[in-house]
Amino acid sequence: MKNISKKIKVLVFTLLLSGALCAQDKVTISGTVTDKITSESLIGVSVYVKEINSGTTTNEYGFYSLTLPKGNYTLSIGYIGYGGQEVLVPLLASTKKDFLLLPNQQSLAEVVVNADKGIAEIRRPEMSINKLSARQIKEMPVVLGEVDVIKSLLQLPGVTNSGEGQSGFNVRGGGADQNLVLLDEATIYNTSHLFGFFSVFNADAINDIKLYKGGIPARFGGRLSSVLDIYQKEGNKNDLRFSGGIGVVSSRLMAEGPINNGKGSFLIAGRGSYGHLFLKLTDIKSAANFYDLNTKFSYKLNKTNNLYVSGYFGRDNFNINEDFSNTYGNAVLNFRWNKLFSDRLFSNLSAIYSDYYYGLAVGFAGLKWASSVQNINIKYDFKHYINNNLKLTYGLNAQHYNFNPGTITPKGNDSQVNEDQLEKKYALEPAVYFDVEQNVTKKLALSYGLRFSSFYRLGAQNVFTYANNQAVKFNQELGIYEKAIPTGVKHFSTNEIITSFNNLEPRFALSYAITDNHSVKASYNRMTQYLHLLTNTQSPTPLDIWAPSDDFMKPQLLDQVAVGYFQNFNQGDYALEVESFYKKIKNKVDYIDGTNLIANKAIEQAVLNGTGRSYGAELMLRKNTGLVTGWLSYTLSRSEQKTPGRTPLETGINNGEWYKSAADKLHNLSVTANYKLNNKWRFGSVFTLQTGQPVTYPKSKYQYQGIDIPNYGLRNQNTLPLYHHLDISGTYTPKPKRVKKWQGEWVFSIYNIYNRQNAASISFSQNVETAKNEAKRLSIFGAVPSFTYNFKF
Amino acid sequence: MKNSSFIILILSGFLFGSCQKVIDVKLAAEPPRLVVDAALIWVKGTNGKTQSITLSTTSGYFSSEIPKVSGATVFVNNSANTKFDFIEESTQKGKYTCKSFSPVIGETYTLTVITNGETYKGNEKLIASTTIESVEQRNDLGINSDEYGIKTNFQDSGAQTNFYLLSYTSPVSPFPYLEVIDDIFFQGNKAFGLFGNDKLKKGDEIQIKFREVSERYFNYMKLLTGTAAGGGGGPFQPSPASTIKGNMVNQTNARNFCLGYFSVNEVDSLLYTIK
Repeated sequence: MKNISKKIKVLVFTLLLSGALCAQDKVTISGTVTDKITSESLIGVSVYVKEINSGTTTNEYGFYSLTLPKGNYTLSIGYIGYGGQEVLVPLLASTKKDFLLLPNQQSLAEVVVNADKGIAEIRRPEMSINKLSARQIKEMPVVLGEVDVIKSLLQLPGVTNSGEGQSGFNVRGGGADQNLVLLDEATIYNTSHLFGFFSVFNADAINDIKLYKGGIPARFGGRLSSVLDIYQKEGNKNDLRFSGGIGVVSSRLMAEGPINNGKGSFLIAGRGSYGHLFLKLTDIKSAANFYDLNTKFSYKLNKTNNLYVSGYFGRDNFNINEDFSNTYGNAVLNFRWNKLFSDRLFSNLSAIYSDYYYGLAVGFAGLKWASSVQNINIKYDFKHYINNNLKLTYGLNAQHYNFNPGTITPKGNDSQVNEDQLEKKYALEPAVYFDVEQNVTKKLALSYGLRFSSFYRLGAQNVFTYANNQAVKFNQELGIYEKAIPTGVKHFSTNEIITSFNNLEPRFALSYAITDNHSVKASYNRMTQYLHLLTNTQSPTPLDIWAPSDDFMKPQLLDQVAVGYFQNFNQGDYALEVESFYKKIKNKVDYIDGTNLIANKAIEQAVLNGTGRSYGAELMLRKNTGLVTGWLSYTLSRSEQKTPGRTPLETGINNGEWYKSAADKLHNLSVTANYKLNNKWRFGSVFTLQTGQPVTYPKSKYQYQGIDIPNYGLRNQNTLPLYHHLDISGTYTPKPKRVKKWQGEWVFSIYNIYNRQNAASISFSQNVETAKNEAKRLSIFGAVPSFTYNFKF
Repeated sequence: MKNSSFIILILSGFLFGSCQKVIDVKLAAEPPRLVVDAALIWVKGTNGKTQSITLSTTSGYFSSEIPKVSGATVFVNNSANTKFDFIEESTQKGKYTCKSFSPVIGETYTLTVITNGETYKGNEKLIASTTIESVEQRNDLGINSDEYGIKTNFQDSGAQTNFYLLSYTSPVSPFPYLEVIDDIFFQGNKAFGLFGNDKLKKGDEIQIKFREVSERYFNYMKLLTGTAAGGGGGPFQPSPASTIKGNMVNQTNARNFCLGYFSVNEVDSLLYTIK
């Protein structure tokens, strides 16, 4: 705590000092940058001042602010996918200046192909960050033509997933539960539709996507591995427009338009899969469907106040023969109020509700089971543009959680199941933070910050107590871990603190621009994660229960260092980014053998805290201009975990030895290319090649009571066969010049064009007819052709 | 819309064109390890005097051979230290039989196996089992609700947490089907086991062996059956297991542990003929 107060003093001093400096003859230019056609705010637009070789970018609400000595300046405005502008501004007093940018499609795209310029960021101390525009995502060929935000992330260095039909994504060897996924600042707990075949984000409704793999700013917290920051579109403020698409899996429709003569806008986007989507995984009669709804309203109250409301609701339904059904989904509602206190102080107040529901109904067992997590988040964030060389971000937030680990109800009249409610769990997670972005010299820029987070487990709850505070005991004679028998139950009343945790999370990054075209960067970040996802992976219906930290399941802590080299060649025609990282995780949850996660009244009796580490090197080479554009990304990395015994007498999990974590991928290569043949035809292709998933194969077998039992060795010593596929797509726009009326395009794609039978799993069991032991490979997608028709009017 | 639905219908055949295929996998080998297959069962209504234990070793996963362990010393003691010797059968190598065993409810038994100069011991208490109340024939079992099979009903005791193991032997499967059940969802209520198979037909006989087991044996069998099924997963499956350790402990060299389990249970046995 002493450390914090010291830092706060330094901060206040810096603020005062900069205030004093500004009292000289400096003035501020500020404003917003919007799309000229739709008047929507643009995020991350570069506002560059040529005379001083420096600048800023617009924030999440399209706002920018620059404080400069009086004088004449040339402002250069540039943004991916938009025509740039250069404006001469005589700056004698503080000025408001808004910029309107024209999208490339509407500019002179037919003459110069100069679209999405993915140039490497040279000067800002920003690394391990990847941005994707909605347009880039839409141009990638995908399975069944279903545009997929998460799948497109997999083409970036350091990002993988467990394979086809596996939910979530892994960043730099981290677990799928270690990603903070934010949709308009609201937490999304599960990113997958249909257990990972598709992602929950409707690309039509999305404006901007940013993935932080490292160097994570202090304003983010609560997850270890990454932040996926997604902002929805605001909606067209000028015209009522419709767009949508018809695909083989789902159809989409979106409406957007102005409210009150452009003072505000709305956006409503819906997507639904067709009801009888047969999942022919085996010869099982099963059906699955999903739908989601994205909404957003924005309203400009006056020059300094803006209001936003956004919402998301999505559900998945999966059933086998009406006897087994599984429903899950996210719901999010979010109110935000932007206020400009001055032309240099921007603020945003958010009130966010999000929940995640997971339910099962099992007919033959006469059982219904539901679990959920509900979360209310109040956030107040400030962006303070002190001067051209100093930007402050600070704020506070508090999140309240309500976890329902399980409600059990009988299903059917003759069910013998007893109604039961597992103890609900409550928690409060407050945090304060500040971030400083500072240009020290022309070449050296720093960003540093600190987050102080706490986690309070609150009553009402009955908590088991255990001898020596150990809920898992080691049976030394048999050499196995067993659940401990509780010694008693302690009751905590409503809002009484059961246990609490406090953590300081320092963040630091620096960049040194060797020249205008190349720089080196380094970063360090510490993250804390108070929530754990309990999951038995690799099953057809993955179980997802979120559980809070407690005295037994400690908060996970991560330290990450990364270094990188960045270079732009040929005025940004090519860009190279090379990074290397090392991560260390404390308190990684591991399960003892034979853990049953459903309706487990004392999950602490099944978990041990271990450690994790991952390290690797990433390379990304982009070609930004010409008829063929695209990128190559390659990652060499390792991700491991270890759960040693708590005393020298215990064996630990996996004999206490390091083993490859589920997210381990030694090699990961992806090549993405787009080719513009002419105005009517565009082609895209993606090639993916990666080491197979770590798995455990049996080393022998034995017979017990007439059945053959595979005898598995230490965990994850094997890997599935090499995973690779090539996907291609072609987009045909019959009338590319038409802007106003009906505009349509056809997207044809073939996923896995050479029909590679990639192994999703290899299972070992006895043949039910011959009793012979055999290995069976499950492949999910062969070559899959599809088409989608997209339209706008 | 109509058009696209039609296309979906056509495409759905290979949309999720997933397939399962038996493949060759090269597996690492390891030295053989002793396996003690000692599940003593006292079928209700019998004297339970004749009991057998099989000793074997692990072998290559794809090998069809089960190497038997011959020449071992095998005996069981009760708490009064009465010794029941298990003698290797001359006709069946590795099978050790005792014809004078004396099962008593509540008694704790210790199994000793001496082989290769190492001594293994394990113990288990013989607990009483409830009985099968009724067997219903069903035609709505299996994942597609179209399989013939049986529902074995029994009454769970509300007094404590209970654990059950059911085994079904039938002509439609070359090995028994084992089912483990606990009363977590239906404490004190009527409970049931299910066995279905799409090849069952009229006249097929199913041998049901029903027993109440200790929590420790239940945990072991749950891991064992889950692992034998290929770790197929599913929300009700335990997380995949590595080497599954039982209750037989090597007294000579703890590191050279054996596999298998020594259990002794009262069993309700019933033969059901499909109508």
